Amino acid sequence: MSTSVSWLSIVLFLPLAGAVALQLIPGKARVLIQGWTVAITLATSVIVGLLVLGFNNAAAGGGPLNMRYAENHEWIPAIGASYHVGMDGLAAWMLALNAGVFLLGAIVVSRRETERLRLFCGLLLVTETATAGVILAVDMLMFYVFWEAMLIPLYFLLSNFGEKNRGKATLKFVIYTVAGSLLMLVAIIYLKVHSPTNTFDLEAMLQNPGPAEGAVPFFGGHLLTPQQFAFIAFAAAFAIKLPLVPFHTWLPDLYESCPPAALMFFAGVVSKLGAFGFIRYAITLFPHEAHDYQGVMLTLAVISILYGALMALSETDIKRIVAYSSISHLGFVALGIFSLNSAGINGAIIQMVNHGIIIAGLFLVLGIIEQRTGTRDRHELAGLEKRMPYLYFFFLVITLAGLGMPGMNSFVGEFTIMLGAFQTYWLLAVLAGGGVILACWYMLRLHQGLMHEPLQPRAEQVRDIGVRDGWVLLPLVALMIGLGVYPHPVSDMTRTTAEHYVTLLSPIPVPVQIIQGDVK
Amino acid sequence: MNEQYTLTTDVFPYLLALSAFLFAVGAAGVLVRRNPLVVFMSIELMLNAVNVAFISFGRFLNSEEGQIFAFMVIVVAAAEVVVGLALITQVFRIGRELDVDDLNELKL
Amino acid sequence: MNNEHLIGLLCSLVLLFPLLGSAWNGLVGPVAGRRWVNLVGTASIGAAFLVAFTLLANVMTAPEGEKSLTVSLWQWLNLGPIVNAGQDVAINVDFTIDPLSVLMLMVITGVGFLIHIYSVGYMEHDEDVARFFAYMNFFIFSMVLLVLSADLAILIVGWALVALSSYLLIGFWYQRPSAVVASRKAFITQVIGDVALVLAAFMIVTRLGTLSMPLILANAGEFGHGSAYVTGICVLLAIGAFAKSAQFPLHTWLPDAMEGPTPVSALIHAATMVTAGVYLIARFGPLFGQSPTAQAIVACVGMGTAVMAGIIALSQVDIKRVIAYSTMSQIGLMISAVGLGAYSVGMFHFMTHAIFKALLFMAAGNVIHSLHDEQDIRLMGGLHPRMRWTALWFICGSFALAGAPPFAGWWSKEAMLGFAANAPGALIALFFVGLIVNVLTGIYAFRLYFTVFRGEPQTAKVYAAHEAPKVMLIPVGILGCGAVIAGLIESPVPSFIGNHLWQGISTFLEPVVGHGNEPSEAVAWMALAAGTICSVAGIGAAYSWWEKNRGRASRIAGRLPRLMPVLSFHKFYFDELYDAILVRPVTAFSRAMRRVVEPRGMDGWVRGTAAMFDDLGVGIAERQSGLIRDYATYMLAFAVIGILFVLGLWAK
Repeated sequence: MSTSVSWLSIVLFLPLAGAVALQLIPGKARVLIQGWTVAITLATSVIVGLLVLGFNNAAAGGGPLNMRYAENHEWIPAIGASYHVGMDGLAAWMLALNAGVFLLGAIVVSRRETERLRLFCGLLLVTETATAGVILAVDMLMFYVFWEAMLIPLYFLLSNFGEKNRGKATLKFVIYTVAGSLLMLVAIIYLKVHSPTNTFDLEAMLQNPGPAEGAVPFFGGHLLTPQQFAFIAFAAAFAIKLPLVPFHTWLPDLYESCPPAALMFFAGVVSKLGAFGFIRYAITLFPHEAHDYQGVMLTLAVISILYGALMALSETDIKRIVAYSSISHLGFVALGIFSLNSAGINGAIIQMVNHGIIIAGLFLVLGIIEQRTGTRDRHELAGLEKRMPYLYFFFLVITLAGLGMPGMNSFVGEFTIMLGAFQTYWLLAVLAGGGVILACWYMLRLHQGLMHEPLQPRAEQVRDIGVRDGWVLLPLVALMIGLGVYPHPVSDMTRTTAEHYVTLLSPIPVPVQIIQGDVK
Repeated sequence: MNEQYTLTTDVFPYLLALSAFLFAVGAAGVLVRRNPLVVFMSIELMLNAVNVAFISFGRFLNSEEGQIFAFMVIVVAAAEVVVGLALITQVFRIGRELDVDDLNELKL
Repeated sequence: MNNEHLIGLLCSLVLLFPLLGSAWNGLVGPVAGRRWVNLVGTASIGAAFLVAFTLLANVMTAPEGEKSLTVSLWQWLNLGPIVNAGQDVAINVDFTIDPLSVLMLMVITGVGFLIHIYSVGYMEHDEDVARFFAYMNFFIFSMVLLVLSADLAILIVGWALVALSSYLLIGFWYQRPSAVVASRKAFITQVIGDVALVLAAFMIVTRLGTLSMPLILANAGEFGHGSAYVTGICVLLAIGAFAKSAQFPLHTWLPDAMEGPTPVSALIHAATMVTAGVYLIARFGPLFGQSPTAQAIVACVGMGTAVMAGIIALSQVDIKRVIAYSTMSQIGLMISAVGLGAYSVGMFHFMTHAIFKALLFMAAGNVIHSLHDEQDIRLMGGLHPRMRWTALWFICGSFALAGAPPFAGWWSKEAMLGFAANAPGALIALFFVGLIVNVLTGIYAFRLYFTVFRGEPQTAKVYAAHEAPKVMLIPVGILGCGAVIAGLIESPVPSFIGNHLWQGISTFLEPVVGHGNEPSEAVAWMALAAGTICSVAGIGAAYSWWEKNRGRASRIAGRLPRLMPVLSFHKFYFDELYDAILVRPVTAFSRAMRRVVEPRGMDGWVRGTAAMFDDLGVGIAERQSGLIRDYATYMLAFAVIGILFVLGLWAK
């Protein structure tokens, strides 16, 4: 693909432009509205797909992150902020996930049952631009702006289309995440002020690391170095978004009241951005601090794995079960990241994408079940396999992927993550293994509880899924199996990225020895 | 600036004391009086106390900034009087008694 | 054997046939009709069997030293360099064809094929037959993947996929709550084993920098003989094997797994999947050879399970559960044998056991089928004249199980006893325990036969019983013949036919697993004699207690200490124990977390923070009296405080 075209900007702003144009369509033309939204997200997906395919051939940027397709323009020169976007191996897969999940979200939103469809579709497109901006930004101020801008469409989506308790859940989510990201803003400004180039540019900052540790005393001078404070601020923002236990309580409430179509991209992409931030910012900007706090972060990760699994085991609301399972699975991702070795980070990247696929599928299936039976309580549902054999098949594959079945995509990620954790400290892998066993327990409990045993009376008249749902589920399921059977092409790209990030975060830079004249 | 007009340390403290006294009188007036017009006059008194302090300091430190600030205060005070008197007139017009303790509709 | 392309193609085919059969049955089957489902379901396995046979021929005709070949299909994953300065850890979809994998392949596809044919008859009245065959074919695919895999990671994939098929088939009748619970229990237990295997793989890869099994086995010495590290690896592998093979302490799922249709019990829970643990230990023989401690643990656990399961089998009343416990017991013997390093003998018993145990299950299936799903042996009796063929094959199977000469089980069991008699040090005790197992096996095997087939019919159902249809009888008959003659492979007899072509199992497997600690001729004969006497004694006891003198068994049981029959009947209370120490505490803990910790602790501090700001806001709001004088006072007071503060700073 030619580099003269600003492809990344197109990817970034196409959905936003689509959202603006959408307002010209009359609100009653529901088919047109949805068609337009699908067309825009599809076009974005196609471009992203081509960019990812062409990734290896694209000219590398050569900066510390080796960005491809990079664009760098002035934005607010007075404060050193620039419009700088770029794509590395991490961003490539996140962007692919982003585009795919929003496309599915646009397809599955129910034309008939969504009032104010135009508003919904517009917000969906705006969210896509915001999440894409978070992924593509290389300038930290730009990253921060998109990070916060993401909340605006999400807020309106949730408060307009949510289910019961949406007000409380939305408020909790917004305030919680803003509290975290404001801390991050302080840290970003600190970094900018102390960076030699006095800009917000991430690559410039990585090239010329800021002042040595402990240059400016902070909090009475002895409690924390400013670098440590900045790391904690970043980590707090991402730990809340991810979320890690004990910062997770917004998530089950929110997922419970989130509309099903929005839930797909909410759970599929937005929560992965925390993990993305950890890799892209927290550990690369602060390699020393990442090592200092490795123990704390790994402990939180393991606690998240086990705690999420235990909660999922006793929950009765099927959406909340999946919400807690998501906490457990993202604990795995955090475990991989803070193993701080290439296997762990590679596994984390793979698992981020995999989990996005799985959770989107899971919520889609649960949304269908809820819509057709009218309940989310697993005590009121049983034996649906009899009435819905096709849904059963899809649900089975998704469940197996969710519990980390070997041969499915999540096994690749979890295996690699656990290997990374094992290299750091063997007990972590053992505890994570306990999480796998619990995952098997709660996923089967969910799946069998809904599908097996004698049919409940209220499910007597349930219809099986139709063609449209089938066509949405099929690619997800195909990806789950395909990425499990042949993960090599994907993992090769992510591994290169992971190894690159590991070199960035090695605490003592290995001196490059240039041996002159002794070329063999 | 001419040397002979510079304040000496003999006079300066008295001027500051005058300023403080005027300010205290004004503050007390604001706190204890209930008629908004009187409260207004007390505020003016406080502002002028500050002006006295400004000008004294300007003289004492031999700089123009004190006087400049005094002018600023006078301008602000004039603007404030315009807004304040307009408000008071309005309150009076809607038939209220002029008592600051009764004007509490804006509280939570 | 050097034609890599041909072998690669054959390996792919033996995997593809069942996989395609499964896909066809699952996707098209429900609309294609029963005949097509039956045809595709069985033909795919038949084709796989033919391919497996071709592979066997390739291996047998290959010259010495070239009997093993690893072919690579595609790269699955590249983990990068794990060991410092090591090479990339590439996980390839590699397949090994060697005598061991081919032997497994033959048994899986051969016995599997017969059981598939049998299933056509058994599932005749079930409306979901397409789903059944889809799962069954998928199981064969997974099992073949397991045994062919030459990479530990791919082996783990196969290892987990067989557990998945087992789960699907145990829960096949998903409307029965008991089947649902049993399938989940089986799956979770298996996952414990999977996790152990994964951890073992991590221990290996972080030291050796590879997961390729030929390389691991060639470098098994790297860990250091008898080191704690290699023992750790072996114990983890063994835990995986125990979970799969239903050995103590991970054995409780197997009897419950009998909730599945009987062909499933025959195929998965008797002949093939549950013996994968034996295969795993045999495959990793060189590694286990480095750790005598792990070998001793494996041998003792196996023998302990054999005795325990034998005792439980004495008192069970469900026909399938008796056979299930006998399976557990026989696999215990195999595990014990491979723990003692007698790999070829263990695999030999695996083969004979696959034949006679599948036979027993299928014959029991005939009984259950003709009694309309009655499984309680106390309600049977007197079936012999009504089901003559089934009874005949059942008795062949029972003789083979009990180890009566010259039935198949006799050859393999007494050979294992020979190795046990040759065991070093205190492990010699295993030999004597093995003799007890022989007695127990004779007793429970023939208790079953006599109670089910002899005596008087106990219910009206029995009078209406009829012989099974041909499609169910013929596979049973073929296996029945096998149960009589399969042991002869290892006997001196066939060598008269021609030493050149014919090899006994031990010679055949020798290039892969070696000799082991072979007993001397005298020890072997002594073990053979003692074992045979014990087996026959067991059969005799069963004859006298349940056939000749029918109330005697209960009188003897009455004379025993009260505890023994109770423990046996309640399976040593393992289910209750695990329920009390694992399942209930975890669920109770989880519920307590959800009720207390989550709302009060985790969400508590969030809500607490919110409430704090709320209170602060309210508190400040209350100070706003609306009196201008109050506000002015606040202003003044704070101004004074501020001035004093600044003055204080200035004075410093």
